[in-house]
Amino acid sequence: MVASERGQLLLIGGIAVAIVVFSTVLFAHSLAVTDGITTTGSADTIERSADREASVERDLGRLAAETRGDDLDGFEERYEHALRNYTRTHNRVVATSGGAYLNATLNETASRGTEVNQTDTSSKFHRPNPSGPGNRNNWTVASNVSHIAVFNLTADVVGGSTNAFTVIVGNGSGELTLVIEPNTGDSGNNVTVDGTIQCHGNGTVHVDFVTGSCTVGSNSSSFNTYHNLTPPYSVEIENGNKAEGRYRFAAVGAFPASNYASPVTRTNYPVVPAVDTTYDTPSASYNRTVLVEVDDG
Amino acid sequence: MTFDRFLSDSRGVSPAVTQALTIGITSLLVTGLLIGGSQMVDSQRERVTEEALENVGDSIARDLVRLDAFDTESLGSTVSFRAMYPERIADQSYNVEVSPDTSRTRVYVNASGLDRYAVVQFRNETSVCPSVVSSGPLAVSYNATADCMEVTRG
Repeated sequence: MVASERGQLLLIGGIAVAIVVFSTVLFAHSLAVTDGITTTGSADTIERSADREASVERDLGRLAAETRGDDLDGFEERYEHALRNYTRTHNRVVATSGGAYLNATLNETASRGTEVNQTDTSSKFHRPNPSGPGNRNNWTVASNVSHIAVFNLTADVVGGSTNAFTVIVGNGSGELTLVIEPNTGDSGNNVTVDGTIQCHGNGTVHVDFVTGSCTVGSNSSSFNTYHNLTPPYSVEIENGNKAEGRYRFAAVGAFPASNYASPVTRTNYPVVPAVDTTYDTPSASYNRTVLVEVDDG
Repeated sequence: MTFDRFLSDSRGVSPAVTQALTIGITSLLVTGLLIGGSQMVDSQRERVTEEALENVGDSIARDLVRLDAFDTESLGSTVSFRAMYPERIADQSYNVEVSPDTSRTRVYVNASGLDRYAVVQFRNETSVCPSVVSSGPLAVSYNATADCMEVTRG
């Protein structure tokens, strides 16, 4: 290396140092900028919480359906017991993996639904309150009914070949008409739905409106019930004096106070149970009262 | 004699001139690079600051929209979801202001030190309480007492 080449070396070296310094500044700046625009929103967390709730609510609905079954009696106690078991299992399985703790209890006050129950077999199907408005034999069981949990009746005594005992479930644009009357040809009874005889036989008449089934004596049959009608329904009885027996009706709707009197009174029944749920997760803790759609399917 | 000889003597001049030229040219180049680079960095900082502010505003609006869809009507208690947001953008702190409007809620993210801001608007069903918070970890909350959504410090 000769002395005259030192200048070029210094020049190139200086440029190289400048480029390195400049690049380092740019790189450090871009790192700072990238760090500055990094955000972690909570939308995903809320989404996960909503998914978790939806899953729990589906479980609560299925649990209510399984607990209710065909037996209305003691549903509240059985459902509360089922909720305790569910909560325990949920927390054991889910909380250990996802850290989401659940507490679910039945809120009877916030639950929706009313039950009327005539248990005396020798009672007619007329309006329970004798001093109510209008004709006692033709009366409204409930109006503006959005959901029926149970509607069954048992007629021990059937009479009146004309103006027969009739139950109408309608929604203004259509209706299901079920008539229980004596058969004109023999001593048996008929269950006629929308003009077609569905059940015939001798003995007590049983009708389940929810499942669409009828039994007279030992003969059973099924029929298309009100499910193809769109709620809200009105449920009415006509010629209630033409038959005697029991009925049980539990639904969400308006039960006219003036139509009921002891021994057939309106009582609260959780057709749509309200469940107080409390979620305790690492990201949020909150509680919510859920109206459980009972999954009968 | 001495001064004349000094003026006419050219020995050892070339290395000094070379050094001077080298240092001068290098200084010019480095200065040019720094000036050009700083302008580039400034423009990049402005652009990225605006993007970052929009990013923060979008994210907060998205959180509020999702919280709005969280069926807040049936909530029995206040609920907060915490989220991480940068303490500083382009080395400057900023404020987040959420203000309800008759038609749309407005999220206003303002970095006053940089004279830059971003505005994001969205429609909502659950009402929104006016709130102003400074930069850093934030939380979108449903205030069950006031029945409104708000942004608080996380």
